[in-house]
Amino acid sequence: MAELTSTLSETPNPPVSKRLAPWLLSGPGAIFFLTLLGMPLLMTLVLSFNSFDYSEGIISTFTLNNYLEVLTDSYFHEIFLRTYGISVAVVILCILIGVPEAYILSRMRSPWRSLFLVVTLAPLLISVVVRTLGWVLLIGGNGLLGKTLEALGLAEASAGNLMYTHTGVIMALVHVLVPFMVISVWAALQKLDPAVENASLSLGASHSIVFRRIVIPQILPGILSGSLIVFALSASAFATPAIIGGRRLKVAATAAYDEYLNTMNWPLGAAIAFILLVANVALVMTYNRMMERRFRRTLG
Amino acid sequence: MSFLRLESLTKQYGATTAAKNITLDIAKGEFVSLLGPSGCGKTTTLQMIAGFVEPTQGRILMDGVNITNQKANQRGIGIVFQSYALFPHMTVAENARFGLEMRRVPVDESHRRVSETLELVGLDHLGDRYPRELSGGQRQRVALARALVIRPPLLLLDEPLSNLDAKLRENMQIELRNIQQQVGTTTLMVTHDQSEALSLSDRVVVMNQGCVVQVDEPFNAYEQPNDTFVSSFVGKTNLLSAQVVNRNGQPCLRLGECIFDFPVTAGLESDDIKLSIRPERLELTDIHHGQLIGRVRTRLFLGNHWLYQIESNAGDLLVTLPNHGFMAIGVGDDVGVRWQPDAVRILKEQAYG
Repeated sequence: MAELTSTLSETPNPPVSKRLAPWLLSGPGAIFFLTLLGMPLLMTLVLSFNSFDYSEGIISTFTLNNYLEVLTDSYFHEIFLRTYGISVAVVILCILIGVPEAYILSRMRSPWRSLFLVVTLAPLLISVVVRTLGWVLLIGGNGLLGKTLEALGLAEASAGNLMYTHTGVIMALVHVLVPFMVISVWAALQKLDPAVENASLSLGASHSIVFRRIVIPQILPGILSGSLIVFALSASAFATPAIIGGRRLKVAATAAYDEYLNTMNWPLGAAIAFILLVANVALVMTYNRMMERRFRRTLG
Repeated sequence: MSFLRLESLTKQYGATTAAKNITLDIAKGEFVSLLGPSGCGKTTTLQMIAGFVEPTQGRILMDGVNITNQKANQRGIGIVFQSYALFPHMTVAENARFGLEMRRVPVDESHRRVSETLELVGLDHLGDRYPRELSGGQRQRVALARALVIRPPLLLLDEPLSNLDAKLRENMQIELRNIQQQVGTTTLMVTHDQSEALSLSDRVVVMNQGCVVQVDEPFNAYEQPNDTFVSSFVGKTNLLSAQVVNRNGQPCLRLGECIFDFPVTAGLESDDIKLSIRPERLELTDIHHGQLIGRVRTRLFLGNHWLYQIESNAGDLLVTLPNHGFMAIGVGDDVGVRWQPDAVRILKEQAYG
């Protein structure tokens, strides 16, 4: 009894070790992230306010000139517009390919379903660089696509050369990113009550109406969050645009890279990187906010 | 004249037979229940009628038309699903309207019919809510309204009340019965709950292991069960082994130490037979007046009645007595058990599967 009262009196004021436990437990992870992610980010931010001179290199100043340059120069406008244009196109194509793919996968019978899901996701196991170089073999100057077109007598071999074109970059990015859309839609489809489709059939709906009016609206949150992932990844993609787009078709990530490693103008590269980061975060958060408001009442 | 007719309907999944030779006639406006334990084939039968499962054999006729090969979305049957299967992204009114939209009913008429039907199920004030924002009972009503608004020739109910708590289930049973009688739609319900089947249906179809065991009015299924399965599945019962013995040249039944006449002993082939006596048909008396003598092992108080478990020579007996407001018999008491001759049923052993 005495023990019970003593524990009770202690409850509002737990021992120090107990109060520290959450901090101690999350500490290692927090330190890991702060040093490996937070610090470089902070250093990049500081760097973006410095200035650069070709003879003297990086000068420790505090100036907004780098930001002004990126935000006012039409050269950078074009790069950012291209980045987001490519991203939007990639998102649309990923929806058009990934949603039916996930739906068909979910309707497959049991041994095939898991088999094809693995086949769909397997490309994620291969490095993006390797996969992109594979695309170069297909759509390069002397690639398989051009050769095939020529052999079939449809067009000249050069028509198959999609290197340094928007089409080429978009194709390769879609290939890299479609699995993310499939996973996201797949997860949404798993939450669907199969009886709901039967219910709409019993009310006289055709299969296409069931898909359009019953299935799609319910997996819309999955499609939208898939789009978010695909959009964020393609807006910040580096390897694919660098290999297939090259210098001729710069996007924000490759432009920042070039500023760092070719022009050696680190502060300007840091500014580009930061604008890309802020723009991406802003877009993603607005989108998320919109989605939450839209689906809170219906789908939770 | 039968409205829905199932002719030796069979469904096989590989080597297992989910439903075997189901033959059934349902009259227009009738409320029929398929009753059985899980895995007895009742849901498979319902899904074959709905068109979600293709029968391996047999025919389904609705209003004289063979619909066996018709697609589910051509049959026009109203279905209430166990999970309700409401469209979560549509409001209550939109859910109800969906079937009318598919039939291209003009807007003003569909508006009228939706509000009529929502009023029928008592949800006219909740038309703008989403399914998530409703209670279980309300969702159930939406599912019913959505199925009824298309004025289906046949209404299928798949365990419609199993997701509701006991109190609500009782209320919904009464309401479901009232609505069905008001609308007059031929209804087929699947359930594993015998009290639900007995209270709602005009006839019950008791199923076990894919076969129809008995088709009867609820009262008859309860009072005149065909075999041991029906007697123990529909309601509680005491299943007892008895022997046919000869007393003064008259065939009689022997149960424990008690030998008694039984009106119909003709046609009993084996000497060992099964008897069924419902717990409420047994009476407890003092040990001198009982046909069997036993001792009270357990006593449960169930509100409106008592449930006794009595140990006797003939085996354990369940006895229910109405609660008259005093505790007469306690655990450990020696009692006599007796019954009226017409309380005893002779049963066949189940012979199918």
